[in-house]
Amino acid sequence: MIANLSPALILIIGAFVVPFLPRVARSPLMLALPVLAMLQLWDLPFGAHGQMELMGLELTTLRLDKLSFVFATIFLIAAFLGAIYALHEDDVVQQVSALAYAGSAIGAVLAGDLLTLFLYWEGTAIFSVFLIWASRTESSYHAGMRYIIIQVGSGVLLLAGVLLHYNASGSLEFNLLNLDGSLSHWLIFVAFGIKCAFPLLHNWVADAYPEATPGGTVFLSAFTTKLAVYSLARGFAGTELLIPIGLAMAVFTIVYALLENDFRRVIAYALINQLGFMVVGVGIGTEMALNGAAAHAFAGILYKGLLFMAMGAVLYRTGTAKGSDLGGLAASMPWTATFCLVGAASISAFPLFAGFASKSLVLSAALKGEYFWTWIVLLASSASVIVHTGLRIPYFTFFGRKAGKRHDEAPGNMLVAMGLAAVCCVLIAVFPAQFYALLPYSVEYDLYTLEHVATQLQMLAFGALMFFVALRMGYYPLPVRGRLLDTDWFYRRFGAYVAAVFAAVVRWAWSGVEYAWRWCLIMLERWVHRHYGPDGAMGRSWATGQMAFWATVMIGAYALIGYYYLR
Amino acid sequence: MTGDDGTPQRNDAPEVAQWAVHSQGTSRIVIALLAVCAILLVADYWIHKHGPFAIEYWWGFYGIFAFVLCAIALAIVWLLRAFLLRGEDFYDR
Repeated sequence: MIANLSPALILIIGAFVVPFLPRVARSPLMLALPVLAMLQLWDLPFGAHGQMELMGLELTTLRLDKLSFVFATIFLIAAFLGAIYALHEDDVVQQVSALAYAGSAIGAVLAGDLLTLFLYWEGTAIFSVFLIWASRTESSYHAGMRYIIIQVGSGVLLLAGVLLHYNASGSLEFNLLNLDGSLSHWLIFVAFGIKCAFPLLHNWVADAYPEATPGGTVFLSAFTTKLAVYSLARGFAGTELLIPIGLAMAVFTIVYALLENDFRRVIAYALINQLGFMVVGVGIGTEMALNGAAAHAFAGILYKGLLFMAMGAVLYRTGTAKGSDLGGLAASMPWTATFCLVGAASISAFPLFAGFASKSLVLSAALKGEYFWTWIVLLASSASVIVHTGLRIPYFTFFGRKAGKRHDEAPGNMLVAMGLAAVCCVLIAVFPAQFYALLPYSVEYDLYTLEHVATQLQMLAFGALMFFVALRMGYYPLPVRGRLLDTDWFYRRFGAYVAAVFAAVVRWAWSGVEYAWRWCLIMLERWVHRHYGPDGAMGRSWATGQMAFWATVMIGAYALIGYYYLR
Repeated sequence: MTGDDGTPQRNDAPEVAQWAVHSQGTSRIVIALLAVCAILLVADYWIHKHGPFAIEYWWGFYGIFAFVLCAIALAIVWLLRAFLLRGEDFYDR
């Protein structure tokens, strides 16, 4: 392979070749590019490459170490699986934007300096929005607009922070930054926080992801938020503030996932829920915790992608992903149902499925560090996953109702993508040693002890029991049509009220200005009429004596002024 | 399903979802799960735990914790439901 070529550029350059190819060549290229980029990634030695100087700034456009390697690897796997999943859609816009988006995310992960990070950071925002707009509905258009404003906002904050940081330190290197009270680091922290869906900054995930096309959502779920987790792990590892932030993410999303009717939106809330575990891991900051965050990002991309794929397939075949309209699809779509169950088992951290291998690391790091409340809250969040996503989604989509409309099974390429993702989910949990070898730090962790497996099975069994007991007794919140209030209320409703009030005030003030202006004009007109009208002093004809008198006054005045002036 | 004022009504779940409540299958699953939970609880007696917190060593802590936690989560959802869940066209009106 070409020395020092960034795997990111393979995807981005490839993306812009796609539209010029004949239809038959596009799909193979979509599949070949992630494979080529993967070969290039594995071929590159660890270290800094692609140094360049731009207007006196030292840039390292490609830095490969264990932390960036694991994220770049899973991003490329996600790009490959996403490309297979979207193979049946011959939409050039989606193909270009998906490849360029994946490339930008990989470029950002491999960036060794903050300016390169910023450029790719904005790349992920700009290219990804087309995946939302590709739905070509009015609601997706509006959701995309809100999404791009928030994403570009994150980029602007990042740029401001980077410039201030450069001004203060004279370096653009992207290493540990720490929240030491400097404004620049706070700006960068908030920029990362927006993309990482921190509480109150989170809503774009649940707002925009479910509006994208089935394939678009699979791509979206993989990159942006995990790029933010990587950036936090790189820049703010061990920042204790991240622990309460992560815990809040892991808790409040439970309520939303339980109430939401659109199952792709449920997965989006579950995605934020799982991000909480990663953020806590970064906040704890020990080697084991950072490993846990990276492992959970890796596993999360696979099983969240798998769940989005399954619900995307349901949406593709039935035209809806709303829980209130679904049920009994297992008979029509048995393979999709099976893969969805694998994804559900993975997110619930069932032993032998992906989530178990990764979530255990974060929980154990909290235990080892003796963070009691952190551990309790994470355990609570972990226990509830089965109730809000693990059972809710497969149960209400695929089971229960005996007679339902028949639908075709998902297209072959979707099944292949789901199958591969499901196999990956199982493999990383069945061979945890090989999976842990990918992680940034060397781990001594025995996953399959009797204690781990038995306690996890207890949590799952009792959680499942609560699910079915509540269902039987009528206390489980069944999926009903409706719209959940979230922080988007502030800019979609409250913001609209504020704008309306502001508009009213401005209108009122303007009418006051207009009234005052008209009054001034009327007064002026009256004054002019009084003095220059037919009877005004200036309008009427004057007697000669009067003229001579005023001429004398004027000449006298000139003489006086001239005298004082020339003296 | 929503009422006249656009707020969702508790017993107005669409027919499509009602099957889940009344199906006999649910009862059978509950019985099976009760059996599994009982076995796991009994087995917990022989499992050696190694964590730093005393609470972990309580008999059946993980299972009972998960059960109670899920119950609390569902209770909170019932409380917040009326406030959070609005008509589907909430933002279009």
